[in-house]
Amino acid sequence: MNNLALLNLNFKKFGAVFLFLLPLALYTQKNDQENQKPDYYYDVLGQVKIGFLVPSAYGNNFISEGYDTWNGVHIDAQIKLRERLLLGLQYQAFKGRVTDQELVGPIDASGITHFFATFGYALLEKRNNFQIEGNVGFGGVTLRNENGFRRFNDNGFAIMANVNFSYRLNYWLGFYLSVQNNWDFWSIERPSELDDIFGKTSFFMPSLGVKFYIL
Amino acid sequence: MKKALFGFCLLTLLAFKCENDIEFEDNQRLLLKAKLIDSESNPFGNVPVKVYATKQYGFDLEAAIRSDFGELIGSGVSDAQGNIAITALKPLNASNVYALINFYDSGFNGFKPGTAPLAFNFINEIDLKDNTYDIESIVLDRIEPFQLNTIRNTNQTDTLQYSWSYNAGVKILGDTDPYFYGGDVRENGFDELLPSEQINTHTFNTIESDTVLFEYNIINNGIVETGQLEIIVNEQSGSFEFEF
Repeated sequence: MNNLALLNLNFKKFGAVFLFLLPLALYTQKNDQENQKPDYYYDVLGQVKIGFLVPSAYGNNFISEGYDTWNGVHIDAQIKLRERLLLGLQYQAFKGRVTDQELVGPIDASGITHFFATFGYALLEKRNNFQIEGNVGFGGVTLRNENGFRRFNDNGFAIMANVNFSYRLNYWLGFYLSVQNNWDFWSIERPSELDDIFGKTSFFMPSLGVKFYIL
Repeated sequence: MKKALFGFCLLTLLAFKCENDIEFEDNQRLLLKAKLIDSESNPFGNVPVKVYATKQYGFDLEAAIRSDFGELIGSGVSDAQGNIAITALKPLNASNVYALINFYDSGFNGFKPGTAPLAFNFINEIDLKDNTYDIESIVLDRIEPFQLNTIRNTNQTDTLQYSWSYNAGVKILGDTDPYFYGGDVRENGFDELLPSEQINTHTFNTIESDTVLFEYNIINNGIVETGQLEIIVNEQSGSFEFEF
């Protein structure tokens, strides 16, 4: 499948999730207009996001050149430190099938997991159902490789940056769209000739899903 | 009872499997580099290469060709210039690391017709430097017809009994002993030239860089002469005459 077809398919999947969330948004917006919201509505302790992840490796590296990546899951949880500051943890997981074993090695498939400690900043006023947040994260990446019945791992250090757009539907529920980029720095011991291929990977990691508010 | 039996079988199977199975090291990649050329130094492109590792000792060529001797750690195909650069996984506690070059998936046939497949066990032959096994050049030999003639010349009374052996199939390099577990790649023949016969001719295919072993006895009421010759194929021009 070429990149354009893959992009089109991912766009359709995003569209399906969006179409599922849209009626919910319209329904709760109608309710909001009818009901005056109390102050404590905005005094959230934290938030949890669970979403559909569409990873896309890019650049000249072993994952972009040697894997066909599948969609995955994005989970993050943050607590509010101050008015606009957020602190939390993020988990992203997806799988990839190896398409070039000459480049990657005889691996059938790999599970790719990112963990981050995240620091966020809310850009808009808190008394606003629409919110924009910027986040950075520091953490790790793990590749769980499958070769028949054998399993072995590759690990590395990872950083990320994202911008989140969210809309609050009611007291506890909203939806979000995240545009994220991950940069991985692998600890794989490799020949110097393979430094470019196995040293770093980059992912564009957009995700779309629901956001739970903890009051 | 059935569960217990199933559990016992599973544990036995796992124990047996783990004993010989190769595990891979975390956070490690190897590179296997080589250049495939023919005997006239021309590059050999589009030749399949598979690299295996095993904990087992010795070298069982027949099992290796069946992909039943160790685990695949890397595979690839040479480019148009004959270059190979295969990313491989790093095996733990391997006794043999070997490459099978120019093989079909199974059997002793060459992927390239007329060219001998090659088995190279390089674990004790090539140092791992910078996580790289650099094999440099590997010559893939042609398989050529060879004619062995026994000719009666001055001796008109004695019988010549003789045998010959030749490599019809696989070129072996490195720390491999194809005789250790079977998998003998050499073929044998036996014949005699009676006093009533002037010439015998035998034609067979063999590897151009290999040798034909020729052993003979000249008999006349007992052995009057015995001998052994090692004929280097590419020093002959397609045939060898033994005259007596």
